[in-house]
Amino acid sequence: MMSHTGLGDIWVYLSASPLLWLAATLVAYLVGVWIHVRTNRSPFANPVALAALFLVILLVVTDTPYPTYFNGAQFIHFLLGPATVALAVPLWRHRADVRRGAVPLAIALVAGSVTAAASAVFIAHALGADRQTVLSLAPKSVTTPIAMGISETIGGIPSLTAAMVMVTGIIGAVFGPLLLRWLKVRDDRAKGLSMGVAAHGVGTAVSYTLSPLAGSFAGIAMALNGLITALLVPLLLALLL
Amino acid sequence: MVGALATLVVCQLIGEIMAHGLHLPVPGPVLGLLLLVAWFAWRGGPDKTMGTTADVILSNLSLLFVPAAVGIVQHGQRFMTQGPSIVAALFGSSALTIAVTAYAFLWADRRFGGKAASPANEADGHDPFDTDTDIDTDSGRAS
Repeated sequence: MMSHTGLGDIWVYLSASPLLWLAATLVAYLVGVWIHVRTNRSPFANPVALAALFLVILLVVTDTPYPTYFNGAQFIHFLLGPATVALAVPLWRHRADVRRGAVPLAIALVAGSVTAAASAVFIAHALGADRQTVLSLAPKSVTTPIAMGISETIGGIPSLTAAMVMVTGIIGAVFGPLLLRWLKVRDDRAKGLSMGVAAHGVGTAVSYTLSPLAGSFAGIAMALNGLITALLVPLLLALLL
Repeated sequence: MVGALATLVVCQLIGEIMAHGLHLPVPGPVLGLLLLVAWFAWRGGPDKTMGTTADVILSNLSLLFVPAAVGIVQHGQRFMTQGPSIVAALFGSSALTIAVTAYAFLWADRRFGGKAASPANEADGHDPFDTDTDIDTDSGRAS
């Protein structure tokens, strides 16, 4: 009666355990990084986008619900909080740059935060997206944990917001550096700031590949954009909708 | 390493307690970040292990976004029906945001800023996945 303990049983056991999806996430990411390096770091081969694509295909093919997947992947997801706190280190190292550029930094951050939220709401609303979609889009440029909180406060769908945030991050990571080159922006501080405001942590990760200074400014922009958006979005929505 | 991780998690915890206890619109991890900066200001900077730990975490930041990105599978239906307006909003808004932020900073920096702090393009071709190249010379100065 050997056939009873076949591959099917092993699958049933493993697919319910967090280990499988934790391992799958790490392997998918490593494959994404490998492809990214192999394509000479082409922005189109973004490791997050590739890893997510592989995992989405895997979940659909094996008919696995997202909560089962997240049960394993949550161990990685959890580290987003400590990683946000860890941004204090590059912020501290570049404190002189930040202090010197404090006024331009504040002006750029407010302009960027308002543009990010208002333009997303305006475009989606004008093209006929429903109210819940529009509200879920408003905090799309803010880092995931903050964006989900804002979405909940204003009446959006937090998990939909999380998905929008990720797509936004990947769009910014892929097209941001190209757009900045096209706009002839050469200042690393300006590059990092715009990537951090538009594409939160994914943009910050890409900015570190431009230079440590760009990465630090992206990290600062991401953190402060979260604060500003949390304060401004409820006000903006009252004006726009 | 463990000490540095504990510091990060405790800062986040205090941040969460403050955010929920005082009903602040600011998320806990962001308050944790501010607390840690205040701690560095008091202590004269991060110690060597904190510097290394933060560098290791931040140079692998991309990995941490993968689980949330996979969450898109839950919203296939909505992306099917409202896809064009969502995609237009995300692309249009991202491009506008990058352009407005970068130009606002460059304008304001000329108008109000001091001298440029550091030369641009200090490290072209920097490798984000190689943790050894990312360590700032500034780390460990107060160990």
